Amino acid sequence: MRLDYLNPIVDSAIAVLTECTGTAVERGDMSLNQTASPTRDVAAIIGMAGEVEGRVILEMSRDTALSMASQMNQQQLSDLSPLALDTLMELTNMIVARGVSALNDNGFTFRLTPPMIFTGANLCFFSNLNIETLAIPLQISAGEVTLNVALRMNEF
Amino acid sequence: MPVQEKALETFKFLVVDDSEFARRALIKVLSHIGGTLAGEAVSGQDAVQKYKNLRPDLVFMDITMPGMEGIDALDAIMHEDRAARVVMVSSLGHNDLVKDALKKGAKHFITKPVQNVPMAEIVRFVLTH
Repeated sequence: MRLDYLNPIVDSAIAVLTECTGTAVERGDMSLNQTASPTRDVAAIIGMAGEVEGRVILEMSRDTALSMASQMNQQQLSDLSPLALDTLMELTNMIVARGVSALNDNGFTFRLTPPMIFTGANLCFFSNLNIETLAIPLQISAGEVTLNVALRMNEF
Repeated sequence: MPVQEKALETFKFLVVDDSEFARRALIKVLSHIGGTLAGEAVSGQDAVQKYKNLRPDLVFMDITMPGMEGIDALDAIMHEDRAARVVMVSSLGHNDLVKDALKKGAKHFITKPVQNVPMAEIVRFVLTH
């Protein structure tokens, strides 16, 4: 995967998480996976189609999801209510949209799918897209979130 | 009292976004600077209808929504009332989109998240220009 696709999205994730939580974000070591399958309880996903295609997944534990949604709403949320899930989808949307706006200004054109969120143990996604995934752990005050980025240039 | 301060104390706003979290965040910030919530809309069609009924001083409009998108709702509202003051609020902020919105009559363009946006300055600017 080309780093010029990846970097704007990682930069955006750090900036948006910092702005939304009001605390510093620490970036961990990046790893390469063969699939974009999440390993934690909560996964928000946004797809891209056009000159650049693929998906971005933000995944985290249930506790981190609740803590982050509570922080962002400035009120304690005790379960993954529609408001909590909407908050996490909007967070993912802000991260990906800001990142791809930078890509768009660099001449790539594509559309984003609306965000979707999945919750539950042992989540597993399958796809025929066949793109390797870069996983970037981000440590925030609410816990660790992992940004999975799987993008490629579409050859028309 | 200076006109600008008076305007900030009295403006009525309509918030348009399909995300409940996004609407709440905007309402919190705008109420904090003295605005009064006129109404909330969750789609472009809903926004156009509520604009006609409520005639708010300011509209804060998301772009990507199910059904009619924010840019089309902006167009419809400007067609209805050339003096409407619409501020676009979007996670997307690429140059083409911003230019298109301003060309269609938007008075300002804000990129989410809104927590750290200088909202009082933006509202003052939009209400007085």
